Amino acid sequence: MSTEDDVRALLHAVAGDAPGGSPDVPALVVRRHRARRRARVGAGVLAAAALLAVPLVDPGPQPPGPTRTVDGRTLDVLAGPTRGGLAGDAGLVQQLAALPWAGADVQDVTRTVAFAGDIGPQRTALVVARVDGRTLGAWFTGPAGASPGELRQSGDPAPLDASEPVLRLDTDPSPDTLVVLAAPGDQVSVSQRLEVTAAGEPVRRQAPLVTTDGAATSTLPDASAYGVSARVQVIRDGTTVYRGTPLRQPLPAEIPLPAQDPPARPGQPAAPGALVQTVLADLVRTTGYTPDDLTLQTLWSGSLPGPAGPVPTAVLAARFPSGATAVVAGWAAADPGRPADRATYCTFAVLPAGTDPADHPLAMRCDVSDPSGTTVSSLLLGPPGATRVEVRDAAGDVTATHDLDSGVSTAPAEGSERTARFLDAAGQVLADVPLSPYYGNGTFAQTRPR
Amino acid sequence: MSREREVAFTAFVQQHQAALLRTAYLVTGQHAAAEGVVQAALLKTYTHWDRIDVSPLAFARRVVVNTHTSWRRLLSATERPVSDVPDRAAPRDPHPDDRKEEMMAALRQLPPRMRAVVVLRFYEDLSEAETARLLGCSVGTVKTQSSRGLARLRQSVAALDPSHCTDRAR
Repeated sequence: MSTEDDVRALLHAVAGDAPGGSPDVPALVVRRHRARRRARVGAGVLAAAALLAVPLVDPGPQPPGPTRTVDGRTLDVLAGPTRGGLAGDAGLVQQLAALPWAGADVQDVTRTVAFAGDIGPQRTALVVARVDGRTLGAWFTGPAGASPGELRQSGDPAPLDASEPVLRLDTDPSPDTLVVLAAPGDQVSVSQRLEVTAAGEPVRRQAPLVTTDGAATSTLPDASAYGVSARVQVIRDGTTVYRGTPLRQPLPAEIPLPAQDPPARPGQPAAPGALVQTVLADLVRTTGYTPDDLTLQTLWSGSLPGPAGPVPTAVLAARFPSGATAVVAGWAAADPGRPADRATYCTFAVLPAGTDPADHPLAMRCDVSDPSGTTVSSLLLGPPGATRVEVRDAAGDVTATHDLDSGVSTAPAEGSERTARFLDAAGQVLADVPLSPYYGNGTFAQTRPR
Repeated sequence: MSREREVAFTAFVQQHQAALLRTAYLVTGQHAAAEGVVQAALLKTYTHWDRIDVSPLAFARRVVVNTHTSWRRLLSATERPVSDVPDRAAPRDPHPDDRKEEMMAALRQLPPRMRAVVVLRFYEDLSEAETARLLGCSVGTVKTQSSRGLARLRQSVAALDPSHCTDRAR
C-alpha cells in the first residue's frame, strides 16, 4: 500500500470515533434559525454566531421573548468580577488566572477568572481570555478543596458566546455537577429530568437555584444516568430569556435491553439492533428514565427498499411507567467508516396510556437514503380487521390502493400522500390516519418546562 | 414553502449528519468542536437553503471546513509549529487504537489549512480541483499543502514511515 492509501485507511479509522449525531439536530437548527430571525427583527441587528460559540447546548424551544437582552443591549455574561464560592479568595483567583493553558497559547493574554467554586465533590473554575474580540474559555476541575496546581484543564479551550448563559455540566465524579453563568440579576432554574404523563405529555418541573450575581450551581443526583436530561432556564426581568440543555455525556456503548412484550406480528425478523439501541438511547438520554422503566415491543419488522437495496426497518413501541407509549419507525444500514450500523428515524410519536399501539393504525412516510439517493416509501399499519388501505392526496383523491399483509402495507411513495384510509374486507372504513411527517409530534428534546 | 424546506432539510440532516460529523471530527480533532462546527454549518445551510447553488452537502461541507479553519486562524498565534519531532521508539505491534491515537495526534499538529486539505483529499477523496474550489485557494496550493501534509504525517505516524516495517523486521 502507498502512503496515501495508508493515510486514507487511518483517516477512516479515526473518523469512526466521531460523535454519532442526534436526531434532534434538525429541529434544533430550525429553532435556532427562527430565534435568530426573531432576534434580527426585534433588535434590528444581526444575531452573532451563537452555535459555534455554544456548540453543545441544545437551547430547546426558544422562548417567545428576547433571548439575549431585554432592551436591545448585547450582554456579556462573563464580564465583571469572579463569581462562585471561591471568588473572595483573591490569592487563589490570581493563581487560577495564571494557570497555563493546553491547546492555546495565552501566555501573553490577560486572563480573568469568571467562576471558581466547589460544587459537591468537585472544584471547578472557568478562566477566560479575550483574543481579537472573541472570548476563549478554559475549564479547570479537580476534587473539592484542591489547590490551583492540582486542578486539571478539562478539554481544549473553546470559544464562548458571552451573550448567552454559559453552561457546564460534569458527570464525573458522581453526582453530576452544574454551573450556570448568566447575567447579574438573572434567576436560574433547572429541571433534572423529564416525565411522560399518561396523556403522553412530556412534563418538566423547573426548580429555582440560588442565583448570586447571575451564577448558579447545583448537583443533579436525579439526572439521567445514561445522558444528560437536565434543562436550564434563565429568567430576566420576569421573562424567560434562555432555555438550554447542557452537553450530553457520551453514552455507553450499549444500553441494556428493557423488558419486552411479544412482537405484535409474530414470525417477523428481529428489529435491527442499531435501531433498538438508538431508540433506547434517545429515550433514556432525554427523559431520565432508565431501561428498567421501559417496556419495548416490536410492532412490525421487515424491510423497505433503499437506493442500494432493501434495508431492515421496524416500528417499535416503548411504554413508559405512566402507560404512555413512544412509537418510533426507523431503519438501519451500514455506515461507511463506522463499525456499527447507523439507525435513522422515519417518525416519532407518543400515544396516550390506554392506547394499545399494536392495535393503533399508523401511517408513516419513510425515506431511505444513502449517498447515491433516496427511496421514499409509505409504511402503513392497519387496525385489527383491516385488509386494505387507500392512500389519498391533499385533495382527498385516492392515489393508490394496497392490500395489507398481516395488517401492513409497504409501498413506494411519491410525496403527494397525505392520509391513509384503512378498510375491512367488507369495505367499511376503520380509520383515517394522516401520514406523519418526519418526527411526527417531535422528540422530547422540544419539551417545554411546566 | 417553509414546511417543505423543513422537511427537506430534516431529510438532508438525517442523511448527512454522520458524514459531516466525521469530517468535522477529523478537521477539529475534538468531539465537542466537531458537533459545534457541524451545527453551525447546518444552521448556515438551512438559512441559505433556497439559495444554495451547489448541492447542500457540498455547501455544508464547505462551511464545516471553513468555519473551523477561520476559527483556528483566530488561534493561529497559539499554535506553535513543531520543528523537530521528538524521538520515539518504534512500536513493535501497534494496537489499532494506538495507530488511531497517533494519527489523530499527528493531524492535530498540522496547521488548520493543511489538515483540511489532507482530510478533503484523502478522507473525502475530493480531487485537487474540488478541494481548491471548496477551500477557495489554487490547485497549486492544494498540491503543496497535500504534499507537505503527507510528509508531516509520515514523520509523525510510525505506521506511515516506509522504514517502519523494515525496522520491525530486523
